Amino acid sequence: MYGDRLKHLREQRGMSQADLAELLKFESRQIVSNIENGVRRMTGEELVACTEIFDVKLDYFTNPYLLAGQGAFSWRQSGVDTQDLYAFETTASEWIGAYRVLRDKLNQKPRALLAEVRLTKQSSYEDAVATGEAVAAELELGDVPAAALVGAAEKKLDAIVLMADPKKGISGAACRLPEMNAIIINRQEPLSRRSFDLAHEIFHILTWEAMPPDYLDGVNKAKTRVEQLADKFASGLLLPSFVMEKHLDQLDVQGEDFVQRVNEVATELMVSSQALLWRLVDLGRLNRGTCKDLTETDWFSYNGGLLQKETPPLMSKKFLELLACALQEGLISERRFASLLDLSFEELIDLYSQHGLESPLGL
Amino acid sequence: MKRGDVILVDACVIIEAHRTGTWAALHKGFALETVETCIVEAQTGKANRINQQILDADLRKCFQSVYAVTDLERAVQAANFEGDMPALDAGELDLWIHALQRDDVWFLCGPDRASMKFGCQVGQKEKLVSLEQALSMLNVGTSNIKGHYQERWLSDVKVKFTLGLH
Repeated sequence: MYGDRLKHLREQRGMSQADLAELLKFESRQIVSNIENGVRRMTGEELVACTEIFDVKLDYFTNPYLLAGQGAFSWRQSGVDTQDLYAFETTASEWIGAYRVLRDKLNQKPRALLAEVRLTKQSSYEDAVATGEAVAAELELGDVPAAALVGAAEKKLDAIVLMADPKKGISGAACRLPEMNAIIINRQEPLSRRSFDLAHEIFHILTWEAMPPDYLDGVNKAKTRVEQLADKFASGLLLPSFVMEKHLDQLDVQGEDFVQRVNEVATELMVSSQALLWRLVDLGRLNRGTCKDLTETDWFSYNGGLLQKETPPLMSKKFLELLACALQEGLISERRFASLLDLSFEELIDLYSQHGLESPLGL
Repeated sequence: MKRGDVILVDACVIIEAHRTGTWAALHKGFALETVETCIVEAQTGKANRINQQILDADLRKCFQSVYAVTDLERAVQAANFEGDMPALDAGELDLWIHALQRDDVWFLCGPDRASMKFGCQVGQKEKLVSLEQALSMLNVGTSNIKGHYQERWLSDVKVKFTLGLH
């Protein structure tokens, strides 16, 4: 592990093996190479010397939960200070890293087959919507896809979906590791926003190899092709035709209560009214110009006021269940677990209760 | 173990002994020692802390020694256990790093499963003691201490980890 961490740090700082060998007073750069390749172990003195050379804490080498360059993130954010984003990424990385390490130690094998969809940058928007619909059907998301999405992502796509409290402006992220996928969602966002963010991140998880997403998504108003495809995929996933058909008779554009109906159906489907309106455009039920005019009114704000303020509990049931097993087997201490989530024991016990789980804590 | 022996205590033990009103008896009955990080955690830890006003100086006076573990000591142990350091918090880990460098007679008192498992793995099972056992030696009542501080819990954990059940 230390060799990998050293190599990542050295490369990140643009330092050659020869330069590092000189700083460590090694006879040749081959010694650095041997350390990085796991042929030779580092001594305690060398570890400390490396923390001084690279100005990092010892924890950088010894904390097994750090991803240290192993994870690729794509953040959905708007106007967030880069330092704030890096700070939150460090925190979130440790959650994901802990899950990965403890899952391995518990012998819970990741799926051998990774899910992927057949979309490329050359795919049309219609292809993206159709693929979203197909995924909704294959994942058996049912009549309210948004309600089943977290469970499906965790059970069928082998991901973990973590609800978090990042700085305002960070909606969420997708994180790709060789052995697993993770999605971070800002739980303080409205329900409809969270549904859309999750669907959007699922697109990235399913297309990462073909269309690696940008590190920062949402920097410019002009969306990239990949982000536009992601939005269309999300629309198909959350509002597939087989679900929409059940509501179309209520959504008569000429009807006097159209606005009210849109708000009601959108709320039932856990999406925003604006997303539902644009879906009606895709289905040929609403004129694009009319839709644009409608979405510029305030009639659909918070789905006409129907969207209740509701915040899901932190993290996820799957994450907490795994940590409970790890505690039981003595793979992590209770204080280490509490510091990982920056919670007190009381808050941790309450978190297990919020997820309907029995607390594994004994201290 | 006998009265007056050296017992290394972690933050949780310090907190539990204060909660149960057994701290005075404990530090008078044994030569308590700990590490700086446990002293800090016991007073300001996010997970839990001593639930009463106590002066730092007064707390420190209760210990025979409080060790400041250095980064070099941590790094030497980390190098020994490359890639397989126990997932303990800073105080629990420092206490073990300090303990493993000692060659005198000592005991270690802690209520956490992962910390006790590590003790068994490094061949120190016989040096693990429960708060209940220590207090019983001093004839101090232990009826209100939590399960993880009881002798039965520790014995159970030792047996399970020794037999490889966990």
